Amino acid sequence: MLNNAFEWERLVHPSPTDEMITTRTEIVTAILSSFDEEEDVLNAMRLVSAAITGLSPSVQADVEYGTILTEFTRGHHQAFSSKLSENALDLQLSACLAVGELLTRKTTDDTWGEPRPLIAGLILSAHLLRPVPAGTHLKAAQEILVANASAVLARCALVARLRPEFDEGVFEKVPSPGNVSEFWNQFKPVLASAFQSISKASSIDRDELEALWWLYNDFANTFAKKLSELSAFDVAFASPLELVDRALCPAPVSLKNIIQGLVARAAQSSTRTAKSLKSILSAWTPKVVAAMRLEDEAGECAVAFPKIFPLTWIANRVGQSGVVGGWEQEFEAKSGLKAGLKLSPEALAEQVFAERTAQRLLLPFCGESP
Amino acid sequence: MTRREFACLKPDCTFGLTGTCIESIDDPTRKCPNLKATDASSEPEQQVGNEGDTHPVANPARQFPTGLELGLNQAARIMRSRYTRLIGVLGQAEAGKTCLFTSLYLQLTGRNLCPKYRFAGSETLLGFEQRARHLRDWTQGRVPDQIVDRTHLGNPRSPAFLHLAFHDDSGTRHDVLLPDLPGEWTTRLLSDASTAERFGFLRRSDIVLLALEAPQFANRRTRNNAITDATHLLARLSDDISVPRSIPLVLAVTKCDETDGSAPQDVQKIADAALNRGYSVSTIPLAAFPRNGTTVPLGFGIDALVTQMSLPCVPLTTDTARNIGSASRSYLKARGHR
Repeated sequence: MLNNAFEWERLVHPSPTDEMITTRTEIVTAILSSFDEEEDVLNAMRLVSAAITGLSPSVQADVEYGTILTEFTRGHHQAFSSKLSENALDLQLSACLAVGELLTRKTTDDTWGEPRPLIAGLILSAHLLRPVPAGTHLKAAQEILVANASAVLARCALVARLRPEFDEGVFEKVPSPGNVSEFWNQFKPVLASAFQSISKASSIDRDELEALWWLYNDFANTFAKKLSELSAFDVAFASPLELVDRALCPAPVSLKNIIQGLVARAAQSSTRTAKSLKSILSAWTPKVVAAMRLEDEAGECAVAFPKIFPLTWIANRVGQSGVVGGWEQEFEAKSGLKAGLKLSPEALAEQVFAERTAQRLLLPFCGESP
Repeated sequence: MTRREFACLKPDCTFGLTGTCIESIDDPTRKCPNLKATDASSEPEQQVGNEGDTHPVANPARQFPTGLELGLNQAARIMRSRYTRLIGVLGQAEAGKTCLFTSLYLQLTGRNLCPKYRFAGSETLLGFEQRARHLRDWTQGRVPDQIVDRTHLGNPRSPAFLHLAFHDDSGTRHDVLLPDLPGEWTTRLLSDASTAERFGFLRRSDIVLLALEAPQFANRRTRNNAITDATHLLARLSDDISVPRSIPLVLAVTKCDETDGSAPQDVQKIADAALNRGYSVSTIPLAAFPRNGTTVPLGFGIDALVTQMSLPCVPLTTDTARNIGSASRSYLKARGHR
């Protein structure tokens, strides 16, 4: 992604020089080195948040991460101002390049490549509800990130569903039992490998069966009602939550298509007009809204990043307060999104799908709460 | 450690005090022939941090912008803080580019575009005021024939920018940079492709305005020349400057007070040529300062121009269909039944 450095540098300078590109590349390399060294998932989340949603001087978390990015920048550009209000876009640009690199670079022994699917999931979760970027060039840069993130997740979903191939001929190679102990030593790894293959094949089958049976049942546990009795917004909320939880992680694009099909069918019998986020949520009980947040470390980690997990943050707030309201002001201040943001059922389903997928991708990295 | 100080030989330049070059030269300490360095060796050494800290620390005097126009680096200072729309403008001498900017400034500051657009500030107020000053010199109740002076750049090789910020009716702030280039740059570009390099900043623009004079397109004697020049200019934009196709073009048809407020028909040929080259294009008839005796209002079309400048981009689209093409199983190929 660093080969985009020249084009992207234009975001902050009408006519960038070679020296500027070299400096930018060095800054991004420094950010990535620190990322690889620390192996801290919070760095991934902060970077994605900075790249996709930008850094706002009025958000405390942004100011804190802005200070860290400023330090990286100052290592190569001593006169760089420490005021976020003067450099927000410059720092966002470095974050965009770093995130792009994390999505596309080749992993080696020295790089921390494991969080790549997570970063892709975080990007999709963070960008969907955002207003379209203010300018052509920022939009173009983010489009590249989003396209790469979609490709990474789609590839990971396919890999997770590749049926294992087990060569049954290995059983023939195991010698006849003479000495039981020696036989067992040779047979155990073959058996373990066979069980692993069976287990993986079984989980892949279950992935499909769970989805198909859920669809056949036509019942949403979130609302304790039949799908056919739910509004388009209800279906857009319940079906991604329940289907993503039943699927192998990450869920495939085809599952999202199936969900959008359900939403479209529900919209034939109810309204599909866009509604404000506030009015969508106010139609549900606190228990329904709170279902958005996973009750584990990943859910805990996610609520610390309202810019990436806006619905999860609301769910947590509603779950704590027990009322579906009173979250609007804090939500707007922390997420940069409006409570009056208009959403169609399809857009809601996309966001719930992306956010739930990102939460599940986060789980292996969240041993400790932030 | 000594701190370098500079003094400019030009009598009006306050670079020594303010750090801002009167001619908007980028990095004047290196490039301005009038600037002389004086080493202030009598200044005491500046130290920060621990005594052993030997890092040189710059201690620049606070810099006040001249407010006339911005050089590339000064424009970049604004661009670093928030997304700034760069409006590329091309047009031959006397096409009305500077009048357009001046009218835009006056319409915004005069609250003529309220409540849709509200003036939110400018880092080049003096520059706009300087350009508008003839408008205040009315004689016998008539606006002057020459409303703005011809544009000359302090540094003839580098563009200078005017800055404007405004809020739209949703409260969103838009910062725009307007390069006020002499018409000779465009004329030269038409005759000499090698000058395309200095228009490189147009590749960063968010929209490109082509200032076309309506009377030139309406007049039988001049319209063929005007069409040829404009088509040629499009070719330069596309082939020599390599302006990306994602950047929309706006045909700013100026002086439409002389064509009853409408763009001449032949302007459509330029729009078609732009479309053929893969650009999206829109046409805006304009009359920044209509002459006496016309019914076209003052600042005609400026609101449409501001709308064009603040238009949001097309929403992000991701093609997810192609991601499932390689899957072999029916489940992974499902598209939903909508």
